[in-house]
Amino acid sequence: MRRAARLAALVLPLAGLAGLWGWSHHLSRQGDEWEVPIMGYDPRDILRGHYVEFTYDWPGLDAADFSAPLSALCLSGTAPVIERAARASAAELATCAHPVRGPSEGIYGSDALRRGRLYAGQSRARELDKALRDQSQRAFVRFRLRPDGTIMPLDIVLRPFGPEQRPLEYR
Amino acid sequence: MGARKIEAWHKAGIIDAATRDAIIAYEADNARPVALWAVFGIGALAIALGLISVVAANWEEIPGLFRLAVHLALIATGLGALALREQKLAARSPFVVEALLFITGALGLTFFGHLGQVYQTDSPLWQPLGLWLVLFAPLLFMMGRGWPVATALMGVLLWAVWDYADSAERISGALRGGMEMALWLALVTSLPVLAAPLAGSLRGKSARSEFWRQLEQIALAYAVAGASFAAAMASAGVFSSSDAATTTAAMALRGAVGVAAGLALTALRPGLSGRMAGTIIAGAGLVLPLAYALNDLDIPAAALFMVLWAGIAAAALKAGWRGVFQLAVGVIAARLIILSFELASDLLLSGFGLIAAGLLVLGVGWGALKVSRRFAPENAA
Repeated sequence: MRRAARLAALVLPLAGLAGLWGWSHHLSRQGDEWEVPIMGYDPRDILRGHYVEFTYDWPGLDAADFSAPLSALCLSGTAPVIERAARASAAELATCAHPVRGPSEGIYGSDALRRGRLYAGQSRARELDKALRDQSQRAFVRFRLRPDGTIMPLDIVLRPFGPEQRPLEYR
Repeated sequence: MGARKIEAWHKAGIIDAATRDAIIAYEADNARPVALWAVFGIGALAIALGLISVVAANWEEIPGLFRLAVHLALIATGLGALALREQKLAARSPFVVEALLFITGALGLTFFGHLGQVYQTDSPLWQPLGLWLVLFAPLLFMMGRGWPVATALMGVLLWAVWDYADSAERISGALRGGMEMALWLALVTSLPVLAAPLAGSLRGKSARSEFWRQLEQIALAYAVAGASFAAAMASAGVFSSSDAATTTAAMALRGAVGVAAGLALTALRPGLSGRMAGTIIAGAGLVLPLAYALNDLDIPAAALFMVLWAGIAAAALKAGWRGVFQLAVGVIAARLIILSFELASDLLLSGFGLIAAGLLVLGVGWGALKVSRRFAPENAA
């Protein structure tokens, strides 16, 4: 009995962490990849590691409109190109082909669809910082939209400004 | 202990030659090369910090899966070593098992942050902390031997419950959490006190009594700190007065958990020291609702604070805890000095007032020193 409990206590942490890893990995494979332009950014370096903090610039949405909380969006277009993002009510979300739901208890709380962060290594963060200052190009966050409506930022990509600002193809 | 000192005692006729030789032989056998350990420790720390900063700076070049695999393998190695060699290592030095356990637990905690970096996810802090407790607490309870693991366990527990209460309040803030939420959070934040009766009951039966003693003491410190903080809040009058019924109920529930924990400890560890520790925890529980009742009443709130600490001093006197008694006397003296400034804040504005304040501080300090020297009990064996 005592041996079994001991063994269980030793195996539990390993099994739990491995399971959590597997689950995170599984979740990271769900859904399609989209791209959304970003506006502000802020390269951070806090104990948790280097990251770039940015503000989403959803196409078709007035970013300065803070009159209502931004808790859900309906995207139209085909991945990775967002043609339009619109505020959506619960009923509209149910019929939406590409719903986005903001998690209410993440780091950004109810601001999760306005702001986000991307963890990047030290040198990559420095490169991004420099590139984002460059006015001739536009930055996009490539993110994965899971079927449950969660977004997971994957990378920041840069494209020159031009007649067609939107990415034409997946890079 | 220097051999010279022993030689001097021998010359002074305090110990005979046989005792001298026995002491020197004993010291030679049991000497702990502290300096050597310190050098090893500093070396190991430097290597560990170097590894962390190399990994942190270049982590993008190292594939995420590989990094996570190495991290998990390190945890597995720690757990494997504990599984196979715990008894052997503990026989040689319990400190080694404690350090191994602590490091394995710390690696487990950082794994959550590492996962978040690789998969770009985040969650409120209480979730990884809580999950860590679920996964690691059984192991730590089974193998913890001293203060490092006990402190880590209670530290993570307190951090998790307060972060949970904080984020739950923020989320429900918009919805006005109401009575149910307030009671739930009061229950969650007072749960850590229950570690005291749990640890107290196991303390006598376990071979690792030092670990359980530490757990019990941290839970007791949490109860006393909470009660002191509540009394200080009442002195400052910062309890919100808008929803009195909710706050009263929450403080009453917290107090009830404290009293229950104290009584349980008294019953489960029947010796004098257990009874006194239980009494202190129960008393601290009683203080919580009283503090709220005395909100914004300067003198009664300060008196409540001093009654709490006078009770602690009395319990320490009875149980023979010298350090605790002296601490309690010091805390009461400090509160007296602060109270004098609260009541007569213009003392500092005139020359005469300054002199009076200085004399008062000196007097209270001198009195406290006298009391703590004169009446402090000898440490109980």
